[in-house]
Amino acid sequence: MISKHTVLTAQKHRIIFSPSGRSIVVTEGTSILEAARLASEPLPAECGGRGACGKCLALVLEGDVPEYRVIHRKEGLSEILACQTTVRGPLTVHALVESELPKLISCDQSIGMAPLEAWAPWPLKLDPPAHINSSEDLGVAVDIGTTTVRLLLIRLVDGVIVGEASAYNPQISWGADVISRIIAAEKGRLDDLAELIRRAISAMILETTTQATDDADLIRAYVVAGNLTMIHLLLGIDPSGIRRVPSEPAALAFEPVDASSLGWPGRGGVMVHTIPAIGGWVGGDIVSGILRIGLPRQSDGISLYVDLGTNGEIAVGGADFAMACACSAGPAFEGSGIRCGMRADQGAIDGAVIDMEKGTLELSIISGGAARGICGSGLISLADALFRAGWIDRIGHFTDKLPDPYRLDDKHGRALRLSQKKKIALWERDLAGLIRAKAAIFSGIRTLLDSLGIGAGDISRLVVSGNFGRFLNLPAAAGIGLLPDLPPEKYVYVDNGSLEGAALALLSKDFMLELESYLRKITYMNLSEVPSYMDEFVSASFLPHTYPEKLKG
Amino acid sequence: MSLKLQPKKWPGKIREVTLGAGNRQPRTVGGGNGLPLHTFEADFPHRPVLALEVTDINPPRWLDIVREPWEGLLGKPADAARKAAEQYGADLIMLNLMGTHPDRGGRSPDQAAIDVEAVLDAVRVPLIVKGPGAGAKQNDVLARVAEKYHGEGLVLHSACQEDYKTLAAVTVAYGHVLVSESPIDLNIAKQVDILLSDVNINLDRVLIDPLTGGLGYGLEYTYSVMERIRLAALGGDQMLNSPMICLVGEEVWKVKEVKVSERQEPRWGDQETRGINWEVATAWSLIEAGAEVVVLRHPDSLARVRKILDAWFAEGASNNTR
Repeated sequence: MISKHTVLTAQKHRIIFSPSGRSIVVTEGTSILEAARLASEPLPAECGGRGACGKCLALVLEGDVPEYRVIHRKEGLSEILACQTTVRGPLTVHALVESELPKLISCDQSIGMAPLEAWAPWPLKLDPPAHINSSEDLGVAVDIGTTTVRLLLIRLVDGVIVGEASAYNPQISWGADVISRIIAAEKGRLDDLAELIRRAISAMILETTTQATDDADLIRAYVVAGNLTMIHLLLGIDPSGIRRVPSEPAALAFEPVDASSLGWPGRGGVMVHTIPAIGGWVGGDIVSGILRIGLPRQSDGISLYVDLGTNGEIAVGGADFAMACACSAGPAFEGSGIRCGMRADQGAIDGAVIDMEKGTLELSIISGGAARGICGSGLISLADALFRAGWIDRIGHFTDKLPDPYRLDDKHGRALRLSQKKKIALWERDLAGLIRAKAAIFSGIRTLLDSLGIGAGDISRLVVSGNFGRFLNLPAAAGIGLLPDLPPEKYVYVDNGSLEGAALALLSKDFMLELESYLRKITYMNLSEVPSYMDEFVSASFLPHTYPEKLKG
Repeated sequence: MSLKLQPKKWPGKIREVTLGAGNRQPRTVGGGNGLPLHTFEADFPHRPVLALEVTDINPPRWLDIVREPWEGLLGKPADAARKAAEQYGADLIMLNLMGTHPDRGGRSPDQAAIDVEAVLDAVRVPLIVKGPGAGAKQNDVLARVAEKYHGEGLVLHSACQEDYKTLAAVTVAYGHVLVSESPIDLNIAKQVDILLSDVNINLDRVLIDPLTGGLGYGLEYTYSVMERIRLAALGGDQMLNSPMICLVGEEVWKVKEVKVSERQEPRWGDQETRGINWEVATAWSLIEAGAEVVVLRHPDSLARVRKILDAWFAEGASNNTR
């Protein structure tokens, strides 16, 4: 006997995204953000779709949405949060906040460079991990960051960079930080996340090979560095163990995989190597970075390596040993979590100087023009200038010295006015976010140094790395107590230690072997298990520090 | 053969802070150059002082057992203060302006000033004035009082990290003493003192309130934070060497072990004795950790702590090895 079922077929509707024109058919009840993800429309959702960040704000150009989801009406059109609004009919929506992720500022300076000459920390000979068939053969080095992805295309026969690309990590629509991404993976979205990053890198490869007029099929090898969550997600491996306590990643090191399994170009048997990690929160990106700066071959003294990102990573050591830790600095350095924050992009305030005599503030803006927001380095410069001028006190509150033309009071509290026309300003709560971020980094540094029984004065070299670090004003960073206050000659800047290390590993098997053997000399320190960390954090939550002598000695 | 103890010498000492001026008989606290109560190896020019708490309104939450000694005087701060100073032997008075809190009647700064004036007229001991708690109202009330009774060397309770500028300004302008409050945290205690000295307060006019809980309610956290503050001070830290004040009474008389009656818990014994024991044990522990100003609610507690202090300092003087 055949039983009769009443099958309720859910209605399906087409959602069109403007202005890209991308469209997708989804089932009724799907959220618009979900539709955007399915359509590969890069709708930002830093909170991961919890309705918290407001970045997925969109205008409904055509169609019908639930009335109670309408936040605002503009000329008869409804504004809604894509993550909170479900589809109940055909729609055309227009994203209101940076609908297309902006391109990163290009850094063409590395094309034509030979990493083995420019970056090798000790003499390395050209010896790629793949067999070279022709003088045209290529290799690819990639750094996958939580926020940005960078890629270098290198000619293997002579080790010269022939192309480069950078892009925002498209997984950002699942949240700005690694935890949100892990949670998304746990909720069954692992394949989607893997697909997003694989496709983004494919697109970057295509872009660079076209730009270099090379054939993507000539690629013989890939080396990828990134934090351990990014590597898990790339390989489609469940990352949920990373965020649990104790952190238990699926693995710290992975066997090379075939490029075709990731959908990447390369003719038969081209392998993708990943840089091994030290712990769940100290990934191959930092291993790559500390090898890039030559820690294993450092003849004397102790180096401090700081990678400033959403997740700050710190290592300290020399030839025989290193200690490493990770600390959650939060998104302030990347311009997020700040009311007028933005990435280091055109229109971002990236520097500030206060003329004490005239009582005026001079801003520097990336690519000139009108200020659109404040990026991480601008935030640090501003905080340092404000503190030096006495316009803010040591906890980041504005003082009576703040001149009236710059003073702004509104529902968000007191702020420094940065633009007359648009409402670009820096609020006290933004400064509080910055102080927490810098305290997280500095207390991480102090905790590592303390574990070795040394002070900041014993550091012979301080290496700053990270997308953000490239724009960093070092004196300002020391001025607010983000980094130790050392003589300028001790500071070294690496544009992207992780990517540069990956490039070296792509060109030299020796480098990769040294990397693997140095791994055993690195001790991972979990700051949440160090009893004094909280004390260090509170004492660093002050400008420049509760114990300013700790910045020096 | 006898064992000769070497007295421990420290590079730093506690600041001397004088409470009360003008029409007050001033009391100085601090000045010690050794660990608290180490009378056998260090000099203590001033003993810890004991204050009793009086209130501007009839305090709604006080237990009957601690109301009893103040029968007919609660909400009459001048009369209560007179009794505290003359009969109960308080070294100083803390006037708790709890009635200025918006939830407790929201008395105005001018009404608060009238209460302060009445107490100032009634007694000549120094006066601690406690506002309704951090916020705009606290600043309004204490600023008004500070301005009106300038030169009396009032102890204003209190400024904290998030809100210190108004009270710092009136302390400097009108010659008072300011309590810097921190949430049981060594670093924040130091940060508030640095912030205060940045706005030109002489730290000889500052007391640190490290905040405390009653015995059994986190006292040990305060104890170790106070110990660390004191060790830092003796080690020479100029931003942590202010004398410390502890508001013991308000913490003790709200804990379960004090609130439960003998009828409910016969094995715990007489409720009043228990409450006083609790207040004395808490107060003495904090004095051992370095408290120089202790604010109590029950006059019997004050009498007992006084007795221990007298005995300690008398013995300390005769046992002095130096």
